[in-house]
Amino acid sequence: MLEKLMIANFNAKVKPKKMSSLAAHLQNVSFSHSNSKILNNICIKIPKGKIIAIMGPSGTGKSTLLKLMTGQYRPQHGKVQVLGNRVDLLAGKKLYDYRKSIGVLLQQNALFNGLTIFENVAYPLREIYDLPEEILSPLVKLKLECVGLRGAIDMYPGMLSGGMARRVALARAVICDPSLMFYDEPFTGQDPITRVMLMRLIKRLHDHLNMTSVIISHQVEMMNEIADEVFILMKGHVVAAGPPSQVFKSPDPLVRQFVDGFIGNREIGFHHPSQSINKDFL
Amino acid sequence: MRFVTQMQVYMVKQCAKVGDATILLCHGILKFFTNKRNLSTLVTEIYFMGVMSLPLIMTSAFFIGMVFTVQTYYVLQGFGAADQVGLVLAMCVFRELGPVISGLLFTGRAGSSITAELGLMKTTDQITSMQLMSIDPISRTISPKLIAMIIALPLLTMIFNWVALIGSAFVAQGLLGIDSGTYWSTVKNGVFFIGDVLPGLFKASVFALIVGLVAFYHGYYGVATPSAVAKNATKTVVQGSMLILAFDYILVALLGYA
Repeated sequence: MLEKLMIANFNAKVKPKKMSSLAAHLQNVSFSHSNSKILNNICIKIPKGKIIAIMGPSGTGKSTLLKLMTGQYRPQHGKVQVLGNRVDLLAGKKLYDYRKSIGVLLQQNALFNGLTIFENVAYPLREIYDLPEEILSPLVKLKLECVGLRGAIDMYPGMLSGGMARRVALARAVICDPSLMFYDEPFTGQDPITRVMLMRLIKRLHDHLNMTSVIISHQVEMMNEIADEVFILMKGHVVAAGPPSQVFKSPDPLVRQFVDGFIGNREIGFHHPSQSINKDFL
Repeated sequence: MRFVTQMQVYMVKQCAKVGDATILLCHGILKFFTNKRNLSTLVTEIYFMGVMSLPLIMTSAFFIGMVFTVQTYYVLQGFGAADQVGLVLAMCVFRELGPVISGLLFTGRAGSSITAELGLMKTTDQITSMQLMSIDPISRTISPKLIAMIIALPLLTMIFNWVALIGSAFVAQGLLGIDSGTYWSTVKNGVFFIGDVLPGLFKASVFALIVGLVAFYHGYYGVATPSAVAKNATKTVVQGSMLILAFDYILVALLGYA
């Protein structure tokens, strides 16, 4: 019953401009910041309705990629097309209209500390759609029930554990039933039990809300379990792409290094580029 | 030559900052009317900035009124004009002390808290999350605060003026032995609403804009780290106070007091 209610969207979604089998398409995208090249000629196709994992070591541009797709950054080269919108060209009201069709779970949760859990989750509905309280209240409670926190509606974010706060942020991110959901490292800082709980929750929400999900994560085992397709980013390039069962078994040394967790003398080094050691120590 | 180039670069950067702050301020004013929920937020903000500032404003005004009266009384006594102490106090308070001291106190209390609040929102990604939820953070966080400042500071200034007069009257009549009728009649006959009170309130509105300009700029565009938030709050108080004093002179010159 609850799951059927979840599908019964109240919200007329902002429809994609063009019917396409792709939720997002990044073509030859390059992005630099402070003279350092973060993404170099990236091409990624994200099919609709799938769970896509974008993985790679820290500092390889995974979060930058997400920011490009949400319109927070603009690439220096290439096209970023998401839900039929050229996100790299959007600004002002058009960008805000586009963002109504996506949901983003940020690393920091970004809950409003002065608002209760109920008010936090209701915030986008109140602000964007100005719904009357009698419609808004069951919708919010429904989403909180989905994440198992209906009993915490009167609590404040400061009273929650890290895992609970993440679930509240997730409920808020999906409150407007987005077509495309971005998760920025949803499992970071969570204990193993909470990680598994969050993973199942993400999978359940993805299935019941008919979304496309893009997850940025380091968790190889978890992405192996829930992702339909995996992209591994290293040094600003996509070094491997495909179903997780294939990618994680790839003999490519860069992929093996990430999946198996080696440092050694392999391609990704331990040291950040620096001047000659003689100049500093001798 | 290198020094001149560095100065030029510095000046261009400073001008760009002033430009950014001014654009932010203009957006803050214009975007207030784009969201009807801003009206209810405005009431909350006026309560926080206005009502919650009352103890500080009233206490300061009462003691400033008393101190100023005692100091002025002994000077005027030398000229045989001690009974004019009420008029002198009223002119100073309505024209200068009221708006300037209210502005300085307001900068310390409301300005710094706005910078800290916006800085904290930025540090914890709340501003980003609002943008990602298709909610304009300028319209929902800056606009109501800015309009609340423009409404609250002139009201606080009026309250400051009257409490300072009451403090002055308390000392003048209770301790210095000036007749109550003489005190209040000199004030009534010497202070004019259009010439003395209104310009003071106008100055208070301008000071509110200045405090807003500095506080919102440092909060919204400042570096988002915990230590930077504290530094930005300090910058708001220092720069806001200096700008209030500088603009006080400019406004006095423009309004014809000089």
